[in-house]
Amino acid sequence: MSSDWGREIRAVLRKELRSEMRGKSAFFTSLLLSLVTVFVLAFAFYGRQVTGEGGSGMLWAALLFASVSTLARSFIQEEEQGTGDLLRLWARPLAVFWGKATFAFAQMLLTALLCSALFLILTGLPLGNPVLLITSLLGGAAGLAATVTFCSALIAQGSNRGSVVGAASLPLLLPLVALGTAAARGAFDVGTGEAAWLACGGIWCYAALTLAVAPHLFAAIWKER
Amino acid sequence: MKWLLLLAGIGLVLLSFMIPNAVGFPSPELARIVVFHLPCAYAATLFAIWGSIASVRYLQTQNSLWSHRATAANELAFAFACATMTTGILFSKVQWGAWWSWDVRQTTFLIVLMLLAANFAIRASFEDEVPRARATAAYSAISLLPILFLIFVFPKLPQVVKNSLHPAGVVAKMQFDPEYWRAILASLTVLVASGIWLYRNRVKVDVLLEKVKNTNGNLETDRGDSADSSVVRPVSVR
Repeated sequence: MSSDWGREIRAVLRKELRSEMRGKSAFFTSLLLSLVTVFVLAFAFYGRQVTGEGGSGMLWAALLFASVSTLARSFIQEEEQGTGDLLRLWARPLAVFWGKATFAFAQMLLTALLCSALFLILTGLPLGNPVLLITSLLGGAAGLAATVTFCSALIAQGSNRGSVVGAASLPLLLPLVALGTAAARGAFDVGTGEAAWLACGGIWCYAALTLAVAPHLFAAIWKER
Repeated sequence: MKWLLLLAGIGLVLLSFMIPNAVGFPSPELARIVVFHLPCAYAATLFAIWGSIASVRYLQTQNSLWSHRATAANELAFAFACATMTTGILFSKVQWGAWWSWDVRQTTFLIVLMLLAANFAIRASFEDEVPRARATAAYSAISLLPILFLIFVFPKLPQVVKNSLHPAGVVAKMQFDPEYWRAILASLTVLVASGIWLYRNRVKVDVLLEKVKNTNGNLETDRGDSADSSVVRPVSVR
């Protein structure tokens, strides 16, 4: 990557960070949404110990809804504030995507780690394999960030953006969530460790493939609006 | 052509009743729905893959013909996927005792159906033709990865296969009765031929609609001696 690319990506990342630091709305919204999702799903286990199977599904459902509801704002916000054209003039499409996706990844990873820690405290679920959980959350955050950022860019100029982003990104994320749930089950000592690590590998492959394809498709739709 | 396809369809229905009952099923006489279920799944996969390829070509060339091809292919993939789900649900109720059995293939195909349906949601959210075509093409292209994963990779993983109600490797190992195979191949031929016929007509309709739209645009702007309606300036009256 040439220094020009690096500079452009860093500049987009800095811009995202500054606008987030002004409001801090996206991070707190995603954390709050993920925790509320955990609470709502925990009502199903009221008065009983949450099982590893149920807990893994709850954790990933929380992360899924948190990502779709907050990361989806990324490009939609640019169009609403009228800064999309400025961004088009100022940076190359790939740099815009990587800058936005990197910020979304950092935000999602922080949310995932905090949400998981609070989830474990609240549910009292024993964590058998923390390395597996953290590795799967790292890959999962990358996959969620890349997919939702891409869908946000697709829908940014359409109508009913909020709901359509959800409709577009949720089916794309379901395989990732299925793999994430399988990996989390292994982390909570349910099933075999081999199957859980295989699922974790699947998460990383999914994230890598999305990150390999999405920037180029983004470049094709972003440059000539 | 349509009469030929109609006749072939009628012949196919008759053929499905003429083949012997399948062995190894709880309700052997009703297992013949496989003759339609399996080819519908294959046709859906074929059209979904072609839709994604056409979408990539559209993004590369910006030629609207590829966009029309992608739209037609995605619509047909969705129609065939709906037929697969319907026949699959009926099969599940009769053979496995429940409308929905959370079988791996059932579930993964439902996600494929959702991916194809999401394309329509994206399409509906755009008013203008070009941004709409670009957004749907990009979505169709990226959804090829999960579609291939969900159809060809995930259901074939060893730990998934052993928990699936779908018999493993029946197609790959040619475990069907030869008469069943002949009926399935005939069904696949008829369904894919019908699909191609519908696809070609759908593309033709879209191309004609585009031509009409462009012609109307020209008629409105080339009015000869009449005032140009596209420019309106405020005039102050004193």
